[in-house]
Amino acid sequence: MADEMVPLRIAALSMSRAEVHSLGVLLPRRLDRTVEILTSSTESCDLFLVGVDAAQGRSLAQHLSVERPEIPMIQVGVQRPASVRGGYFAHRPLRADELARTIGEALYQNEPEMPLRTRGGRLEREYREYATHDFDRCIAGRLREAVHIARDNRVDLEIKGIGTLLVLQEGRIYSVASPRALCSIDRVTRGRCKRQDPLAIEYRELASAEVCRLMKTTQQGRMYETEYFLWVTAIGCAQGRFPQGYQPDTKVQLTSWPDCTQLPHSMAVVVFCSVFSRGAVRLDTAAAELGVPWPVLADFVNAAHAIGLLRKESRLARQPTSRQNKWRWARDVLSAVARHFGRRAEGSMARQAV
Amino acid sequence: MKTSDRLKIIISGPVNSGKTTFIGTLSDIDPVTTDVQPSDEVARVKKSTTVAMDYGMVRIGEGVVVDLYGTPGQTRFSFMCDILMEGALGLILLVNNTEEAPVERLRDYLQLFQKHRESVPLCVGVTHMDRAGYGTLAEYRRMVANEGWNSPVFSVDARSEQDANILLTALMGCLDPTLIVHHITEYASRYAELR
Repeated sequence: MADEMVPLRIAALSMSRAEVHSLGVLLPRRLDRTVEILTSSTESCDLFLVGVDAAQGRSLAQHLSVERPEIPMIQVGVQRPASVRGGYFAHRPLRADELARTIGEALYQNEPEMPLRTRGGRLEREYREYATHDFDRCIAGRLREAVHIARDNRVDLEIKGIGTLLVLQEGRIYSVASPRALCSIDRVTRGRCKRQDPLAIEYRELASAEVCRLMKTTQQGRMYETEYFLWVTAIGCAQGRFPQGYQPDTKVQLTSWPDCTQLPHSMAVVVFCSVFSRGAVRLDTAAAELGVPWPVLADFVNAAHAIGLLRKESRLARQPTSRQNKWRWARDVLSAVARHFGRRAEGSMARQAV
Repeated sequence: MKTSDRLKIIISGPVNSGKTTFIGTLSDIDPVTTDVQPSDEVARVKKSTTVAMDYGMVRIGEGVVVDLYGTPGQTRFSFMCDILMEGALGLILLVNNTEEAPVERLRDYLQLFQKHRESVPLCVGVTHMDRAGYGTLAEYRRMVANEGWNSPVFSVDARSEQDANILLTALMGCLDPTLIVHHITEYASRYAELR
């Protein structure tokens, strides 16, 4: 997973060209992830590696520790200078094992229960905000149940108690209320089986003539693709919480991609799908490496869970990374191409919204 | 311009699936086509069809160009697919949902490109999904998975710039998710506002 996602960006400063080169070769292997060594820029890096044998390096280290305290720093030198004190230090000549261990300590900050922290330690705060909800008992969970009944039994259903809502066997939903509006309903009652499950849905099967009649009499309704309807409803019900059973250390994999062109915030969905479709990924790892807060990831997990495209602890083997390796030489070019198409898509989405 | 700064994406699929339109939607130049009047059963569905290839070009900037090649849709020209696939960055398969047996047609194309499964990312675009058709997205997804591909299947309008660019962004994501990860950063920063 790590190798497939955001690279670890290390700013190597006041270090020789040979050292920078060997870091670029050795660290990806030792850390088992993509590493990007920056020599001229410190923007959006995850770690500073500063050579402190020269006076210039020492003053740079001091400056960075004041100006960028949120980014961990490892000082590198022949002898540990007095100024380092309790900070992270690696001896010259650099040994890959020692350096990888120190990098691990600096990034984890001796908190083994935490995943890799995001920039500025954002994940550390949000880890405590991790929350779950009972998906099966929210309106999205109930709708999903009705969709399965309609599909498996090849029948059209009318859901009672939430305006006119028809779940059609061909994979569409006709509803007077918008999926967003439905999310404000916290209780769905059923007349016949109150004692068994007071939150269960009440539905009845419809003949096709009756479907036409109901659609005619409630002309203010709209036809939605089931996938879209469940997606939006699930996100609305989730309120930034994960479905029960999904913990930070749960590994999940996407079995198929949803119809991203038809979903809201398509580009974000495409990113999540590209990450989760390559193999089983821990939720905390995904959140940390993508640098997204829990609620953003929770939305995706709820929605993908609602339409049945997410599988916990995949039995599938990881996809080979040969494609990535094949084009590794052209990374800059590929980034430019991806940005170009992404910008164009966002541009047309914005135009359409206007 | 260096040859290494030219990348190639192949657009393939059966007759009348929207390949030429798709290239026209994305291309920065007027697409170069090799359309002729069909003399076989294709004449019943369209007035002209591609016999060699379609070509379009997307200029990325700083000397980077993405070449878009469309393959002919008729099976007797399928040898062109192998020629065009040489050194391709990615493959887009388009299939028209209103043509007869579209899921089976998609299977034929997946099998045609089977030898590239490990090396070239694939995205499938199903066109004309808004009209009454023969397949559902679930059926297409099942077919793609059965043939051993782990690829996105989207409903697309070949005329829509938005759909075409989302499909290509997904293709780049299949190649390497880190290439498109910046889109999530932007979304996450505006999350509260978007909700």
